[in-house]
Amino acid sequence: MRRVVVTGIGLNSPLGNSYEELYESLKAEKSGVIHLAEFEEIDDLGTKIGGVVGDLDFKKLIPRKFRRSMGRVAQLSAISTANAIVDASLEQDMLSSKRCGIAYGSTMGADETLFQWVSEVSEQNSYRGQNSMAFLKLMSHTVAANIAQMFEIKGRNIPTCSACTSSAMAIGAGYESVKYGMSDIMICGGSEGQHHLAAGVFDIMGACTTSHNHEPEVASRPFDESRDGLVVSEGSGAIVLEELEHALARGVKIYGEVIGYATSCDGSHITTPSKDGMQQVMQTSLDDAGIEPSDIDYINAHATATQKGDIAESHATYNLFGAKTPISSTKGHMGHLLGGCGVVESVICLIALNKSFLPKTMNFKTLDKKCANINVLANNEIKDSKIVMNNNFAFGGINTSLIFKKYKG
Amino acid sequence: MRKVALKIISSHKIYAPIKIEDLQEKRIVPNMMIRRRLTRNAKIMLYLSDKCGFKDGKVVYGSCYSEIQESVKITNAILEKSSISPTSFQNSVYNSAPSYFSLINKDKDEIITISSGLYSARDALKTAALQALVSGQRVLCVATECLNIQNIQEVNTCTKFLESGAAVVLELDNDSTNAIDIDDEGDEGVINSVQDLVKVVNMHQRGISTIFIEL
Amino acid sequence: MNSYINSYEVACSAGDIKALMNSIYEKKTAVSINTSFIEDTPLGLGQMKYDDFYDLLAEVVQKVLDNSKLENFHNTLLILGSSVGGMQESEKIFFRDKNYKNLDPRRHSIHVLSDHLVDKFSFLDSRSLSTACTSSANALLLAKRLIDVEAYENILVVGADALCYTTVCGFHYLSVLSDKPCTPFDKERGGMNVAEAIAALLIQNTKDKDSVELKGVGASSDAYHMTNPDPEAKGAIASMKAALDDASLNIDEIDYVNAHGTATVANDKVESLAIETLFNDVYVSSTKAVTGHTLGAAGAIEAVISCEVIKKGLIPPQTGLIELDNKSINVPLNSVAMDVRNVISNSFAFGGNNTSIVIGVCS
Repeated sequence: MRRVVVTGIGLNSPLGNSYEELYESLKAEKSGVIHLAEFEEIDDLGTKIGGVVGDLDFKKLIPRKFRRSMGRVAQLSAISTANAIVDASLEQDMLSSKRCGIAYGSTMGADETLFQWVSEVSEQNSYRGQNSMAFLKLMSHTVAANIAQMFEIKGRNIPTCSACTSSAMAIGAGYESVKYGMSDIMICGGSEGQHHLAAGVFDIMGACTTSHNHEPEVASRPFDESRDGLVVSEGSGAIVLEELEHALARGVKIYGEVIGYATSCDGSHITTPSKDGMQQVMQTSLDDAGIEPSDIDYINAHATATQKGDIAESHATYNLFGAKTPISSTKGHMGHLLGGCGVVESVICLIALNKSFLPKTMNFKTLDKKCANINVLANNEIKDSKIVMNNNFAFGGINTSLIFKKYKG
Repeated sequence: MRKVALKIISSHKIYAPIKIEDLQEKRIVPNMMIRRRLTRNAKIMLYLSDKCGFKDGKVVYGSCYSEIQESVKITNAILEKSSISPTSFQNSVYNSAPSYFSLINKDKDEIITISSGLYSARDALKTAALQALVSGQRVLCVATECLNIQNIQEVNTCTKFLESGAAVVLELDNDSTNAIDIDDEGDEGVINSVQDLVKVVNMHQRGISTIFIEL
Repeated sequence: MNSYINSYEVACSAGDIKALMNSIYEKKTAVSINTSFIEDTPLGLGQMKYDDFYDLLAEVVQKVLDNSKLENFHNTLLILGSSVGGMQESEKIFFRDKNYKNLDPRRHSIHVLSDHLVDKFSFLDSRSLSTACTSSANALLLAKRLIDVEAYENILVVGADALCYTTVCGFHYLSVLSDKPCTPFDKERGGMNVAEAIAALLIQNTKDKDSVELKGVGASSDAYHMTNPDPEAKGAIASMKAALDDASLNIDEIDYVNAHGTATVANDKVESLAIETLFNDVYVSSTKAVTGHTLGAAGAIEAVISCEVIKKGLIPPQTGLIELDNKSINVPLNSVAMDVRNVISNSFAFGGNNTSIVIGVCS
C-alpha cells in the first residue's frame, strides 16, 4: 500500500508567510484581523474588518510573463507554491515529470478583476476596453491554470473550486492521486484574495461580524456565546504530497503523513449546514484511516463563528468524539481564509504534530449553550499529538475531513 | 606475521588545484535521483573505482576530513535556525562515499572507513592489506580529500591540490620474492592523507607489481 | 591466535560499567528529556556529566590499563571508532564566533581523539575508523583479525562519541527521534535517543582467569538505501551468519542477542525479522533503552555489556517494553539467570553497514 507524506510547505496568511512564522504567531497569540479602509468606501457593508497577508512584492517575486495572467488570488498561490517547491527540494525535471501533478482551488477567480470587468463593461456597454488577460485572471480555475503554466506541470491537474473546502479538497484529491498510484508527487493548495466582493457575499446573508469593527482583534469568536459572525480574510498555501518511498529515496524531510480523507455532501440545504452530514464525513475519514475516534489527539475545526455553523459542527463532533478530544478553531486568530483555509489549517495540524503544540481558539471564553459540550481549547496547550484531524465545510453542504499522522522513520 | 606481500592489480590517481573536471558521473551513475545526491568525495571515489575496474568486493576507504563540507552546511543551518536537509545529514557521515559506491554497484561486501588524520591513506593500506590477507580476495583501497570549503581559510589553503584521490586494487601474493617496500616520493603538493596511496599508484605505473605492507 | 577481552571500562549516561549494569538489570533508563538542543522540542538524550571530553576519554583508558596486567600501552595498538571525532569543539567555536576563523581543522576530525590518547599513553601505533553507528564494532572486527593473523599481541579498542548539535538536529530532521526514553521492540515505539559514551576494551592473545573470548566477527552491506535498512533483512542476516561462521558456532550455541535495537520504526522491524529468521527463540534485548544510541561508541559499549552478561550469567530484561511488536522473537520482561555461553551483538549503520560480534566463554 502506498503511503502519502508531506515533504514541502509554503504559505501566505494573516499570521505569517511560512510554517515557522505561523507557529510563532500562534504561540504568541497574535491576531491577523485588522480594520480595512477600503471597506469604509461601501457604506452599507456591515463588516469593515478582515485578515490580510502582509506586504509582498509581487513584481519582484513573480516574473512578469507569468504575473500578467494572474489576479491576487493566483499571485498569492504562486508565491506559496514556489516556497513549497523549494522547501521540498523539487527540481524542474521532477516538477515536469508526468508523475508530478497539482490540485488547487479557490472560491472565485480574482475578485478585483471580476468586479472591474463587470463594472466597466456595464458602464461602457462595450468589451473593447477590456484586457485580453482579464478572463484568465477571473476564471474559476485561475489558480490551477497559472500554477501549471508557471511551474511547467505536465502531470494531473485537478482544480477543486468549492468555496470553503477548496484547498482541503485539493489535498484530498492529491492524497488519492498519490495513494492510488496515478502520481508520485502532488502539489496541493488553495487561495483567496481579499476583496469586498467576498465580504459582501457573506454580509448580505447576515453571516459577517458587524459589532466589532472598532476592535478587529476580538471580532472572530468561534463557539463563543457572544459570537456575531465570521471575518472574511485572504490567504494561500501549498503543500507537497509525495509517495513515501519516493521521498525517502530523495532524502527529503517529512512533515507528516496523510492517512485519511473523506468528502461528502449533506444533500439537504444549500447553505444551512447539517450535523449529520458533518458527522458522516468525519466517520468516513476515520474509516479511510482505519482508526477509532479515540485515536484522534486534536481536531482543527472549521468553526467560522456563524450562529448555525458552529452549533452544527459541535454536535457532529461531540457525537463522535465526546467531551475529551481537544478542538480549536484558528479562525479566531485570522478569520476565514475561504479558499485558503483548508490548506493553512492543515499546516496548523502539521505544526500540532511536529511541535506538540495545540493552538487555542482565540476570543473564546464561554461555550454557546446551544453547542454540544466539546472540549474547545481556550488556551494554547503543549501536548504530544500522534494523529490529528482537519475538518472543513462549505456552501452546498460540501464536507471534507483530513487526517494527518506524525511520521516516524 | 607483520608484513604482507600484495599484488597491485590496478591503480589510478587524480587531483586538481580547485576542482577536478569531468568525473564522468553521468556514465558511471545513470540513476539521476542518486547522482544528484552524490558528494564530491563520492564522485571521485566512483571515478577512481571505475578506472580500476572494481565493482564488487571488500572496500577500504580513507579520508582525513571526509564530508566536512556537509558538516559546515549543517552547522550553518543550525545557527540560522533553518531546517536541515536529510540528504545533507546522511551525506555528512565519514563513510558516505563508500556507501554510495556500495549502493550503486550493489556491493554487499564489507566496507571500512579509516580516518586517521594525515595517516589516513597509510592506515587504509594497512587495513586493506589485512582484509586481503584474511579473505584471499581482491580489495579496493581508496583515499580522497575535498577541501575547497568556502569560508574555512585554514582548510582551503592547507594544500596545493584541494581535490585529490587515489585508488589501488590489491590481492594477496603468496610469493613474496619480488615484493618491495613502498619507496616512492609521491607527487609534490598532494595532501598527506592521500599521498601514501599516490606512492603506490606511482610504483604501479613504474612497473612494480608487488609491494610489502606492514599490518 | 585466539582473542581475549581482558579488561574494559565505560563512561555513559548511566555512569561506569558497574552503574550501567545495575541500571540495565533494574530496568532504569539513564535517558533524560532535554529541551535545549532544539527549541520547543523535547528530546530523549543520553547525556554524561563531564568538564572535558578528552579528560574523560583518558580516564576511561587509564582504568582499563589499571585493571589489566600491562604496565603500559607501549606494546599495544590503539583502534578507535567514532562518528563525530572532535566535532563537539568545532561546533562550540562556530556557534560562539559565528564564523570559522578560530577553528583548528586539526582538531575537528576523528583522529583527534586517538591522537590525544597516543600522546597520553604512547601506544605502539593507532588507527581510527568512522563508519557512523558501526564505528567501534568495526574496530573490534579489525582487532580480532589482526590478532588472528598474529600481527599484534595487544589491541585497545575504543569507541567514543560526544553529543553534538549536528547529530541531534540531523536525526531530528530524519523524523527518527523520540521525545521520551526509547522503547525498543515495542509496538508503540517512537524513535531513538541520541547519546554519548566512551567504552574501551583491551583485547589480547593471552588468556586470563577472567577472560571472555572475542570469538567471531562478521560484516556486510545492504546496498539498499543510504539510511533505511533493507526491509527483507538480508544484510542483517548476512552479518550475523558471517560472525557465527567466523566463531565456528551453531545457531543454538548463542544464548543472547544484544540487539542494535535503536527503537526506530524501521530498525527494530528489520532486526526482529532477521533474528526471527535465523534463531529459534533466543533471548533478545536492546540496552539502548538504558544508554540511548551512543552512535560510534555503540559497538564497543555493547560488547562490554555482552562480556558482563556472560560473567554474571544473567540475561538483561527489555527496559521500557510494554507490548512487543513482533511476537515471534523472545524479548524478556525480566532478567533470566542461566549459563550464558555465547552472545551476539549487532550494530547497523547509515549506508546499510552491518557488523555483528560474537563474544563467549573461553573455549
